[in-house]
Amino acid sequence: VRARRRGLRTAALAIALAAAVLVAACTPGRGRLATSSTTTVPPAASAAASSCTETPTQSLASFQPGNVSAEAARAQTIKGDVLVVGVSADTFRMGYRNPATAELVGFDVDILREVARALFGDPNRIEFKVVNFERRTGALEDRQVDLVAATMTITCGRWEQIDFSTEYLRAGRKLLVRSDDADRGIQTLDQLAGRRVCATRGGTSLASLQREHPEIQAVGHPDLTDCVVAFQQGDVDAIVSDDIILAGFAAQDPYARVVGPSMSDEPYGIGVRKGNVLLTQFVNRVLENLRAGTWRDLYRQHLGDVLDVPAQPPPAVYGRRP
Amino acid sequence: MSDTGQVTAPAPPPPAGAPVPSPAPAPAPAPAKRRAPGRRFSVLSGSTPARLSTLSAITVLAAVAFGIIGAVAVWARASALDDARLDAQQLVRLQSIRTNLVQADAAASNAYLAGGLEVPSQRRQYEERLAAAARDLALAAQAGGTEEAESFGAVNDTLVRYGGLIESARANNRQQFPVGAAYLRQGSRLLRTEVLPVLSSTSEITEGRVLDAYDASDRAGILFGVAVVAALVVLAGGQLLLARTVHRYINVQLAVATVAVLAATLIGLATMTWAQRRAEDVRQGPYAATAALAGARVSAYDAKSQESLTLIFQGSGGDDRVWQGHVDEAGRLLAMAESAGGDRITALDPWRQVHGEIRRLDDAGDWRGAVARATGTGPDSSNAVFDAFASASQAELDEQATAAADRLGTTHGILLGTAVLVLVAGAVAAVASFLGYARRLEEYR
Repeated sequence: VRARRRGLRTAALAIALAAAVLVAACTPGRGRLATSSTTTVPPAASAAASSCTETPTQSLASFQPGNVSAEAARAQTIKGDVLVVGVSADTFRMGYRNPATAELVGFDVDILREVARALFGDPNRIEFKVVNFERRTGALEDRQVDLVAATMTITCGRWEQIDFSTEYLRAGRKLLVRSDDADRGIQTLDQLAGRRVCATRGGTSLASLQREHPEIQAVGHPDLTDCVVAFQQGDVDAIVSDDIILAGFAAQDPYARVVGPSMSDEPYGIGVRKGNVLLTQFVNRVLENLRAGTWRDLYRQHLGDVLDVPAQPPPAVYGRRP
Repeated sequence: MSDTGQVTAPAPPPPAGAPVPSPAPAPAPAPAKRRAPGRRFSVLSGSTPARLSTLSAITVLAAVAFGIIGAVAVWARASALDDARLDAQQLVRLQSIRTNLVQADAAASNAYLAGGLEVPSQRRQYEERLAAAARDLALAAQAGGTEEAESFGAVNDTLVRYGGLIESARANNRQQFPVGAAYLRQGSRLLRTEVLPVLSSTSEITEGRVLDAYDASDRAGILFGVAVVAALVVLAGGQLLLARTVHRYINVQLAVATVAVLAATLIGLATMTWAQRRAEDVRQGPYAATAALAGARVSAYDAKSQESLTLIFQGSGGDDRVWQGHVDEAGRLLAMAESAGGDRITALDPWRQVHGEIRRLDDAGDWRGAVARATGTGPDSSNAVFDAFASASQAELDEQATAAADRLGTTHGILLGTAVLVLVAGAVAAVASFLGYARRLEEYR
């Protein structure tokens, strides 16, 4: 069995390489950082987390997949016989509970199921813990979960607390506006001068919104879903957040649209407990395999109808040293 | 007062600096320059008939004053205790508004948890509880003081918004949109930040008012004592002076007056003391039990609501401390009600166990099992077990509240009767003492 798996792995690696090259060729702005999926960042840049700066090559760089066996990776999980993961339960299409079946479903959930499948040969050998946004890194640090996949952006700041897999989905900050505003051609924050725009209070988004766009009235809420309630009740005119999350809201409201060019890139990574390098490497191997095929199926299944972004898996960046 | 005008034959003297409201008709001119003792001296040093008519006036006045002030004092205690009864009722009403609202919220979140196809009985329970709260709110606004009037208006406003949020949550849930949970959370948060604290502070104001009423009732006792002492001193002193003046030891009419005052005093003291003791018993017994039970129910329902909210928002084994806090508070208040003479209510313990099992299921990753246990209606479901506590505590609360109201209510009738009695006794004493002095005065004509 193991021999076959290794064979599969080699094949998958080859396909992933080819895919990454293809992706790099197709995405003009990203060619520089992804000449191949095994791109190795210069050692100086990847040395310590503290020297990390928010450039794609540095913050996105994860550990080389290498040849980590499922046994070795399993030994690094909390329970050993089941993968314990943290997900969101209210991010439509990414991680949410289907009210009809009470099952947790979504793109994030399925990516984690693929990891469970690779670890245990069964996508159902997985235990979900619902984590709030602000608890995503904490749940890992407190050993409550093995992995977290919950629309979490890879940043230098978070690298200091946890480790990340390679990027598995690329979101961008965009605007959610009312359909009549969208019809009027509103695309950017400048066009919303004097109007109320909602962002989450905790992170940097509200502060940067106030600083960079003094012409709008920034409104902060503790939770993004509170912004949606305010939006539907007419208290705010727009919401700034990741397009993938906003698309999930737009899917629940025919009078809401996600508009505009991306204001910033939000690369999503799977969080792993700091120092759990073998598990990170294993997850990176799984992601390599997914990029070769299943990724597109999952994307189509969960996000295809709500996002107009091309279904391309983001390329992997390696070069970080444990 | 009009009697005295007829009695005093001598013309009213110049106003001789009299601090006492009695129309001291001192006829003696010269020594009247002195103050209080002087005036008293002047009363006693005039001619005998003049002296007697002055004494007569003072005594009649004192008897009338005894009747009026004594009756007012008894009536004051009666009405203070009635206020206490009404405020205690208002307190029960306010607490029942809180209970109903928390119960409505618990039903709404429990129904949400069951998914788009909510259990009709829970939906009904939400509507009934909310309607009951609205009804009680109108009654409470009527019965409450002016200082809370504004709060009730604000609570009413907020409840309308709350209902809207819960309906939006349902509508989204029905379409399987997870954003419904955000509406539910905002509704719950609104209830807990803007409605329940306001109601709880009006409850505190009302509790303070009950204590004020008790204090007022205490002060009425002092007033009664003053009236009694003044009347008895004047009556006794008058008879002593009369006996010295006319050298007769017994004046039948004055003796009747004294007996009337004494009898009224004894009866008044007895009923007032009885009423106060009874009221004190009520305060430490059924009233204390009522207040504690009502508070315990609010906390318990809060905990029940929290159980569903924790599952909906899935802090995943996270914040059970809020639940724990509510349950501990409920337990403390139940113990308080018991020590105030209420029945022991143990029905909360089985629910604690069920809740513990729900948490164990959820923490072990079996969210659906936990939800099934939390939203089901079977005999060992959280809902059924909690209902046992709800009805047991409601029955005990009703019993204690009724006992408090009834016992305070009986004091009211008896005290009012006593007030009439004191008034009558005062009138009898006034007439009798007038007649008593008139007999003696006639002897000088």
